[in-house]
Amino acid sequence: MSLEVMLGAALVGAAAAVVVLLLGRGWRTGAASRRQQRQHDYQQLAVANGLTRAETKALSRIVRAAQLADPKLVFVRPSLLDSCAAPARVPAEAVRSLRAKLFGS
Amino acid sequence: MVLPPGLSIVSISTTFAYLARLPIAQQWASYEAALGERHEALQLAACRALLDPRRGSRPELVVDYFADLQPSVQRELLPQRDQLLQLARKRITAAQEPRRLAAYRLVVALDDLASSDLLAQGLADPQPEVRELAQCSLVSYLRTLALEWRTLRETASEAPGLPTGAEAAVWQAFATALRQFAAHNCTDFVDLLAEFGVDSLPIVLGIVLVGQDGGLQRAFTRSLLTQPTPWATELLLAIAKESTPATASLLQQVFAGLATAPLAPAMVEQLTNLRDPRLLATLQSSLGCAWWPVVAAVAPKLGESEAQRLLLLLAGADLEPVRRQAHVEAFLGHSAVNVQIAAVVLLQAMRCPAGLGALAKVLETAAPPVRLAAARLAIDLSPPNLVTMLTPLLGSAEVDLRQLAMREVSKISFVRYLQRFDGMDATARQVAARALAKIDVQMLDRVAEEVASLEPQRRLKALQIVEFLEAGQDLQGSLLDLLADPDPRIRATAIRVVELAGSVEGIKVVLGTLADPDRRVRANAVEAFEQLDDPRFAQLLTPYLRDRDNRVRANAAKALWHLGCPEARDALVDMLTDRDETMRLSAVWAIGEIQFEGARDLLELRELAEPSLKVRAKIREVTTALGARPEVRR
Repeated sequence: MSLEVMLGAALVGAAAAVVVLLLGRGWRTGAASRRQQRQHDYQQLAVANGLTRAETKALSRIVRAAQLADPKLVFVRPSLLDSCAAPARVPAEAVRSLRAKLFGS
Repeated sequence: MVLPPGLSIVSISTTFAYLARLPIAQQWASYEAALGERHEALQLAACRALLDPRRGSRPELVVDYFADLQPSVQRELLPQRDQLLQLARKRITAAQEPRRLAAYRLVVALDDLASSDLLAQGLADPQPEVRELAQCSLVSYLRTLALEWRTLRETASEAPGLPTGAEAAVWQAFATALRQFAAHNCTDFVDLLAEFGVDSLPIVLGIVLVGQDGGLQRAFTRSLLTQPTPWATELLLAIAKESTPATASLLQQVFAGLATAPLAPAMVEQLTNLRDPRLLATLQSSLGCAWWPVVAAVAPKLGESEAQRLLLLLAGADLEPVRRQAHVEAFLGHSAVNVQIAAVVLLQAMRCPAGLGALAKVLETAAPPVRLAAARLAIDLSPPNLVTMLTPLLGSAEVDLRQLAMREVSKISFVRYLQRFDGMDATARQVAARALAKIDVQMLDRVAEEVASLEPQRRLKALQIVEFLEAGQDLQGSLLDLLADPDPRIRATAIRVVELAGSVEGIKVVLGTLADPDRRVRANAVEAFEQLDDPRFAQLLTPYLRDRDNRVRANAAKALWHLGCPEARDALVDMLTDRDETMRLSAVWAIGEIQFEGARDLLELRELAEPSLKVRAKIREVTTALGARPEVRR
């Protein structure tokens, strides 16, 4: 195998590695961005719905207990307040308050 | 939309307003999640967002969740009904669509009869849930349709006819479901056929009986055997009216089954309860052939009113008379007396063209009222063996029955007696007449009828019977008419028979006959007066001592002697020397009858001078008789 060939192969490998690195970084960057966006949406919805900081935290615990990938979904899923309040250790009073504010009942 | 109390749509609106600002693809997940919640406001908001073209429109997600939406939300979506149904149809008809169950559920939830074809298609779906849903839903539609059909039928005499409009799609799906019977084996569809009565006939003829699906035909047969409804009966009748090899085969199976089926009586009851004149006509026309084995098998078990109605149907059925009689006779074994009597009455109206064989058992074993009706029928038709048929009734404990039988048997016996009268000698006639009179309390009435007969021979015969029975006194009224009978033999006999005592009218008539041109009549008239044993009539009879007829003169002498007139003796002595031989013969007879003192000497003296051998022989006969008994008279 000639030196030129070996150098050529090394260059191609390096280029591929660079591409892979760049793509991985971009993906991680996109995922983080999406996470951030979701979190942002969650916070915005909490504010828009007039939740207190404590209520927002309680709702966050429910989101974690429900293992929601997208936390804003908790604003359209009242059933999670029933099913996840206990594992999330959210007091009943807080649940009632959240329900009233988010879903009107 | 009416919101539940306390529901704040403000928060939900806030949430959805925020979601609406997100990129469209990010919105859908939230809307879909909202659809899955049992929350009216959430579901409705999600549906509106998904159906909004400005937000990219994902109506298929609404289709997916539609069946699980709250009823109020489903109602709110009715304006989008066509759009959703179109989507569902597209999804169902698309090959290999994994989410077709949701589409089917939407079709069912929207209660869209026009989409029944989709349900029919679902019957053969590879997905069991789809098959089950399609089957249940289609059956439910058809039951509703059948209920409406029956309601219409109950208010109108005619069948409502095949469905139209959206319901026609259900009907088409019904046909499809039956064509696919082998794939789903759902017998509910087969049972539904009978629920539509005669309107199912096209499907039965076009699908059930045409195809090679033996399972379908067996299911249909079983269905008919287990549904004793008027509509099933109606359908069966309609099938019976079709005369094709397929219908004949089906009917054969049904009838074979019906004859032993526990529900057969109920089925026949339905038959008898038919009110539609058209169906009744069908029933009557097929009663004799197709239906009869079934009817005959259950006839004794039918209710009274049903049996009566069936008899009425039989009465009006277009049947060959002998066959009709056989059918009617099956009801003689019914437990209800009224049914048995109705059968007998019908047999009477038919005049029993096949004979009265079945009545014999009835006369022996049935309840008294039935036996009475049967006896009257037998008497009315008067078969040759009537006496044999009625004989068991002669010993009946029922007075009416016994008297009827006695009267008829006596009547027949009397007729036979009259028929054989001429062939019997006098003794036999008398013995038979008296024997008959002992068993027949109406014999004198019968004799009186004969006395009034237009035929002289019969009147004469009747008079002789009166004489045998010594019933002149009882029949005096009838006999007096005969004293003026145009036939001299009858007048003569009547005078002899009649008892005149106590009858002024009779005496007048007999007085008239004393001048009858017939000598036998005059003689008998004289004899009749003798029987009166009343000296006041002697003056009436005295002129007859000079009658030109020997019998009259001799009878007059005999009568006058008995009435205490001694000149009668002188008249007879004169007659003994009359130039007329018959006069002398009659004189000898009369002397022998009255046996006055010295009669024997007188006759012996005359014998010596008598030139006629005949008269001498008569004298010897009389004197011999006189010698045998003492001459004890005045």
